[in-house]
Order: sequence, then structure tokens, then C-alpha cells
Amino acid sequence: MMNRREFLKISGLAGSGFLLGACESRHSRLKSYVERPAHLVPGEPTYFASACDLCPAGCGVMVRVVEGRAIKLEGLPDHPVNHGGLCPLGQGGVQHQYHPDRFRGPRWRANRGAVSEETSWEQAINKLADGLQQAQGALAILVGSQVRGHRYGLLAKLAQAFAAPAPLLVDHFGLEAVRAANVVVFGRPEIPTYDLPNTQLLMVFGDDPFTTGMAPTHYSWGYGLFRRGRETIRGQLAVISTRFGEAAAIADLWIPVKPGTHGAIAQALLGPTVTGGISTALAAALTGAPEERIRALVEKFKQIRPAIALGGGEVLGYTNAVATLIAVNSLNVVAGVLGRPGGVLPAAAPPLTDMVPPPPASYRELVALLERMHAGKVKALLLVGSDPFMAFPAAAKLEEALARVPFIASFATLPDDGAASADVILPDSTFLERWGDSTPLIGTGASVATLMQPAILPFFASRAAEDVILEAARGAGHDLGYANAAAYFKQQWSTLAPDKQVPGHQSSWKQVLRTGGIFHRTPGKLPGRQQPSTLAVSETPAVSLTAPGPAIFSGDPANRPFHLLPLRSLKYRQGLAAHLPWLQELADPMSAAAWGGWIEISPQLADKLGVTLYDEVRVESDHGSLMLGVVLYPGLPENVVGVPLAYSRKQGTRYDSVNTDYVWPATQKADPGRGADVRTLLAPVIEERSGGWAWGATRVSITPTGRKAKLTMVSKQIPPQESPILPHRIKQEFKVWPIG
Amino acid sequence: MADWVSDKSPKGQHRWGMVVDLDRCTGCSACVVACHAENNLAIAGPTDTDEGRSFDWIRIERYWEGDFPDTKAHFVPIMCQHCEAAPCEPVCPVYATYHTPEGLNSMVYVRCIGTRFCQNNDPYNVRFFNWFEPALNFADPLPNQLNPDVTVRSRGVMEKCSFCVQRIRRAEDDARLAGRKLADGEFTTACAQSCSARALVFGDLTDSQSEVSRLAESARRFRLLESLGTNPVVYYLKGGQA
Repeated sequence: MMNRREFLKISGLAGSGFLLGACESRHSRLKSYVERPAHLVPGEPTYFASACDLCPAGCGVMVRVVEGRAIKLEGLPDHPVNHGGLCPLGQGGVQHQYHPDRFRGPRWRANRGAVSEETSWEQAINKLADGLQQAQGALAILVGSQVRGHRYGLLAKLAQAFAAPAPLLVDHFGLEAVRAANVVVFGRPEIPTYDLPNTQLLMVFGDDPFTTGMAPTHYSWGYGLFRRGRETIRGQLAVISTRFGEAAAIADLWIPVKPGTHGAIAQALLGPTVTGGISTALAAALTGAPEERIRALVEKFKQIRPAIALGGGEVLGYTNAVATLIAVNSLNVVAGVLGRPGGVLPAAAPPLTDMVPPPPASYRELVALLERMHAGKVKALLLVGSDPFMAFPAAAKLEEALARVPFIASFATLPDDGAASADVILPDSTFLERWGDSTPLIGTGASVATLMQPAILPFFASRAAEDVILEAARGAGHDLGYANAAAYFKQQWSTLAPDKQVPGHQSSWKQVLRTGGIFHRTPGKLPGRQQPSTLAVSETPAVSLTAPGPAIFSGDPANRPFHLLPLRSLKYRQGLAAHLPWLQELADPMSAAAWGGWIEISPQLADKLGVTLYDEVRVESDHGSLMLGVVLYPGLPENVVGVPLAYSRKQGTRYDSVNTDYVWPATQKADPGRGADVRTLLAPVIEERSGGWAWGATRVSITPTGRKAKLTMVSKQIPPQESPILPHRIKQEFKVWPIG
Repeated sequence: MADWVSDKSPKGQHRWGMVVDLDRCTGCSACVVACHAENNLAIAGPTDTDEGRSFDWIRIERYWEGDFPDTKAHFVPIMCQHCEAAPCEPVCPVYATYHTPEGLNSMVYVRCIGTRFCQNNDPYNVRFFNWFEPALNFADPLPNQLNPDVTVRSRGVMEKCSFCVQRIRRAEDDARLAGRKLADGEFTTACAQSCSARALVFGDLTDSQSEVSRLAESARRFRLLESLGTNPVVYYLKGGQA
């Protein structure tokens, strides 16, 4: 029998329980349907760790996102490649993302003469699937060399499914010779780690590693520490080049050499006692360099250790590139710095060993592909992150070869000449909008895999190439085994789990999303991973060298008196940056020219030709001719002219097209267009040992036209013999006057 | 405070300054593009760039010396020197450019009436006038890249390096809200952040422990056009063996 007290207790409990229940349910249901995602706070930036894929260097980036818009890219702090810095091209990433000429969606055209028109993704993918099915084994895939991760792996799977040859990486950097020479001297083709921060003497042959080379951010970081990172030691830099470029400007010693004779300086450094070595007098005769400078460098090289010799840039453009680089690499052996701090260390394999793409196809292999196209043996061509026109001189007649391919699909994000030749355009999302990954091109002293994550939603109706390829392959009857791009990359990165670096896959995935990837700084201690092998060190530096010999040039010196030196300006970075208005408008740090191409002529030669700044000249080679505006350049000998590889395109964007009808809205001024590119002039000469393109092997003639050129100069020059090129007011010291 | 800081120093809590180590600069121009990206600098286009109307709050100047083969060149990154005795400030009839208590040579865009007196009086050529509506040259959808923390200037207005004042304010606010002091290196300007070689170092000159103060005491230091008596807060460190 329940008494009154118990009754009250029970009813009270029941009542409060009811009330509590009611409170709970009401609270849990109160959720505004306009609530935004946690990272979308107005005015508050969110940072996503990712990788830049605008060039092959493989820098880590932080994407600053405000309210769903990517507004700035910063270097990822402590990333082994860029250590928090970022190059001008990387900074231009947001302009690549919001470029006004980006493809808004897929396009196709009924026949080759027609203008492409918009289509739906379903139809575009069906068209791709049809193309793949019809081609089967006669499929060729060209991939841009900035693709340095699992994207290549998926394309390789696609090629395998159709029993087609493996995709070819198209390189604009001329790495064939570097790899070939590395095999000979270091025993491995990869670009090793050059320990710049700890070295004391750096000898750079032909290159500008700090601004236009393979990984400018990494070598610039090393350079800063090399100069001023140590309390008492300041590293010394010597540059051996034909043109006085950015590296020569910061060098302690510059040795000017005739085109293609860089190797003779390396031979002189080896000394006449070594087989293949020569005396300084002979080197001076071969290179035309002042002998006292060669002797000064020889002295430094005798006394200073550790010392590093690094070759690239100009050297890669000549027919003796491999032999020259072997001579340069041998200096590291002679210096005894292989595998030592401040020397040359092996490059570590990335923690995900299957992510490294094969070496880029040599120019010779690409020419062989063109021949297959001409012979009608290529039925379908896929262009992924690659504009093949960038990798060929006009003389290679790529257009004619493409005309013989019945089906071309381009995954270009932005209009380029490759996309203009395509039957169907399947615009790829930018690296800020999609999944991906990357591994560095060069040795960095760490084992690196960088993950790319979608920091923002696709801005236009673009789709990641992986998604399109998976779907098209399914349509053509080959399931590659992945649902979509996200699943593909997550699957690839799941192999990390057994590593015990980060226990449990889920947490490791979250961790790499947060940190931007995996960076092992002690690469020798990876459990279960491929151990980085040592370089082939010969303890006794018994280097036996074959003299590089003279470079061969195309064009008769009698009619074509000048060497044409194509310049790899940091503004255009081998064609990867030409579409970005910031990079177009950036003043070239040496010539102060902007927007398009120009020709650098020494003031002495300009006097002889009777031309000066802004004058137009006609430059002619055996392969074509070109009109260019004159820039006076005190850092060139009289018989060499420099023309930047400006990579203007026939059908590019409004900012990098040869001709454009764009009118600048602020001023209503018509854009003059970028003019034809120096690739029109270049001879298709092959470097025999590596099969690379000897892009510096062209001789030209120059005739003034008597007209003024459409040249853009950020700073107007005064010929240096009259007055140093200084802004008037900085040059002149003002008197102190009272302020305020 | 170090003894070389002049007694004309502003009396703010911080005094922002920069050190440019010319021995580290490679001329790579990353700072130039980073500044464009951070500060919504307009694209002038080829013709206007040639006519001297492009915008570069920071630029790499290159000085030639000698003839081939004795050619030499030097890179000098030049931005507003944020002078303590800035010649550009007293000539502004509307106080559009003034000195903040923290030592910034600041521009108030809405006050500017475009007399360009400041540009005329600026010995470093670091002020830029908007002759045309700059926003128009951001073809759609390029405006999406614009930094919402920075005003897009309008026609008839002068603009210049602000030492990324938006970053300073954000960092100061964050520190104040968290109830702590702003730490050295907590934030930096866009140019210094992009610099791979660490040639640019930004920080507080009142903090004697900050990297910028330490570097500014270097024996290699000099300032641009020192004889003008402008007292810049940008210190350059000589390159070469010095």
C-alpha cells in the first residue's frame, strides 16, 4: 500500500522526468537550418595545407580561404622543399584559380575546323569513352611534368587497361641531360640533395638555381643560409655562364664563357694532372674568359671545402650538355663531398614509394611519338596537365602531327594550343579544388610526400581529371577499381598505416590533412621502406674525363653571326606562368622588361647595328623569323643575343596570346598581344647522349626594321656607357632640407 | 630601446620596422607578386605599365655597374621606407597620409583628393597614383581573389606600402583578445613571408629581443638616402664580404 509520502515522491519523479525529457527533446531539435560550416566564419580566414602543382618543384602551401574563396597562398612552414617561402608563380596560384578565361565547363566540336562549343559532362565523358574504345592500344597519353604524384599512377592504369604504351611525361625543363650525367657520376639519375646551408664554396655552371631552375624556393632557402646562416662563415658563390643573369648578379666571382664552353672551366678546375683536365691558359682560350678569373676560381677550389658544383640552365641547351654536366659533377667527386655534410647527399625516396612518376620523356621519345602520329598509329591522344606545344620548337611541326590523330582529348583548365587542337575539352579542376599529391623533383634532405586537398569547391563546372578518367574508363568497359578521385587518393595514402608512423589509418589521414603530408627528416630510418641508397662514391678521385668538346650550332656563322640564347625568365618559368597577368606584369629583374618577349643586345652590338631601346629588329634563323623590341643588356658578349622563352600561345588566354582583341577596361586601350614566341626560331637539334632538345643551338641574324616595337619596360634604361641605369632620384643625393 | 633609435620615434606600443639583407636577396621577385596578392594591387596592362603606371609597392631595383665582361649588378628590394621624418606627409593638404603612433606611414584613401604632392615629395618613388579605375582591370571572376581585409582603391587616389597593416591589426587584436603580448614572429608582412631566402625580416623595433632589432644593429646596416634626414625604419644590410 502506497502512503502519501511515497505517492508524492513517485509523482514528483515522474513529473520531473517528463519535464526533463521535454526539455531535452526541445533543445536537441532547436538547430537553425541556416547554420554554416564551422570554418565559414565571415571575415575569419581558414588555412588548408596543400601542395602547389604549378611546377614540378613540389612545394607545400597554405591556402588562405575566406568565406569559401581562396585569396592567398603561403609557403607551408617547415616543408622540406620551400621552408615557408613561395615563388612568384606559386603566389600567382589564386590568379590561376580565378583566371577570367578558365573553361566554364566541358566543350566539344563536331569537326576539326569548327569552333568548340559547350556540352554536358555526360556527353563529354561519353565522347571520351568512345574515343578510348575505338583507339584501344593506339592510345597515347601526354602528362605535364608538374604531375608528380599518384595522378600519374591512375593514368598508367588507364593505359594498361587499354594495352597502350605508358603515359609520357612532357618536360619543359630539359632534365634529360641532368639525369644522364647523374647516372654516370653519382650512379643514380635523381637530382641529389645539394647541402647548400653547410657548404662554403658553391660553383654554379650555367644555371640560375635560385630563380628559374628546378626548385627556386628550395635553393633560395639554402642560399640565404649559405650566405648568412652561420656566425662566422659566409659561403662564396662563383657563377660560370654566358649571360650575366640573376645568379651572376649575386655571385662573388663571375666567369663569362662562350656559348657551350662551360665544361672547359670544370676541366680547368680538375687541373691538368687529371685525365681530361686542362690548364687555365687552355680554358681561357677555349672559353674566352679572362684567365685571372679562372685562376682565382682554381685557387678557391683548391683551398675551400666543402665545395659544391651544380650545373643546369644554359648548359642544358647545348649539344654537349651531358659531357659538360659530367665534368661539373666530377668536381664534387674530386672535392670529396659526396655523402658529406655541405656536399652532395642522396635524394630520399618518398614515404609512398609508388608515387614517383617515371623520368620525363626525352625530346627524342617525343619526336618518335610525333612520327607515330604522322604514320597514323595514334588513334587517340589524351593531354593531361600538358600543352605539348610548349615542349617543341615550331620546326617540329607538331600541328601537322596532331591533325593526323583522329581523337584528341584535353584536360586543360585554361585555353592553350593543345586544347585548341582537341576534339573534346574536359576541364580539370585546379589544385585548390581537388585531391592530389606531390613529391619533390629534387633531393631535399628529407623523404617527402605532400597531399593536395580541396580547399574550396570547384568554382566552375570543372571536374578532377581522375573522376573523369575513372568514369570514362567504366564507360569504355574497363573499371579501374575506384569510385572516384577522393577514394583513389585515400586508398593510395592508406598504405601509410603499417608504417606505425601514425597509428591507425583514420588518424593518420586526419594528420596528413592537417600537416599537409609526410616529411621524414631522417630518411635513413624508415621502417619497411625503400632505403635511400648511397651515391656511387669513389674514395680515390680517379676521375677520368672525356673533354666535353665544342657544342654544335645550327646556322652558318657567315649568314647567322649571332648565337641565340633562349632565356628561362622567372616571369614565365618554362611556360607554366605565362597566362598569369601578375607574372606578365612583373618586371624581369635583370632587363626590367615586362609583358611578352624582347631581345637583349649588348650596348656595343646595338651601336654597331644602329639600334637602341624600343627599336624593332627582325631576328632570323634557318627555321623562322621574328620581330622583337631591343633591350640594351650590359651582361652579354657582342656575338650573343638573349630572347626570353615567353611562351606566347596562338590560342591561349587573353594575357598570353600572340594576338588578342582584348581591350583593357580601365583605360579602353587595346592590348597589343604578346607577339610570336622565340620557339619559332629554334632549331630542332638533339643532344645525342640524353636525347634532349638542344634549345640553345641556334644561330641567328639581326636586321633593324627602322620601326619602334611594342615593348613594355617597367624601368626606362639609359645606355650604361653614358650613365649607370639608376632611377634619377635615387642616384642623385638630395640636400637635407628641414621637414615640417 | 637601442641607442640608434632616434628621439623622434613615435610613442606607440610598437614600432614596426624591416630589415632587408642584401646578402640574402636572389632577386627572385616572390615578394613583388606576394604583395600584389595580399594588397589587391591592380593590373595595369602592357601599355600602361610601359607608361609608368604599374603598381609595385615593393620592387626589385637592379643597379648595373661596369661594361662586359666586368659587369656587376646589385639587387635592392625597395618599398616605402616608413620614414620617421617622412617628406611625403607634411605636404598633404587633407592629412590623407600621416604617421601612426606605431610608426607606419599610413594612407587614408577616403581622405585623398589626388593632389599627388606626396608623390612629388617622395624621394624613394614608392607612391602610386590611380589614374584609372583600378578595379575594372580585374576581369571577372578575378575579383574573387581579392583580399577582403584590404580596400580596393578607386580612381584619383594615391596608394603605397602599408607594411601590411591589416595583418598587424589582426595580430594585435588576436593577442589582445587572448590577453597576451604580441610575440616576435607571430605574424609578418606578405613580402617577408614569401621570401625563401629570408632576406626580408619584419618586426617590432621597440622589442630589443626581436629578430629585426637584432639584425638592425648589424655593422652592415645602412639606410637609403640617409643624407636626406628622413630616418627610414627600413634597414638594409650590405651584401658582399662586409
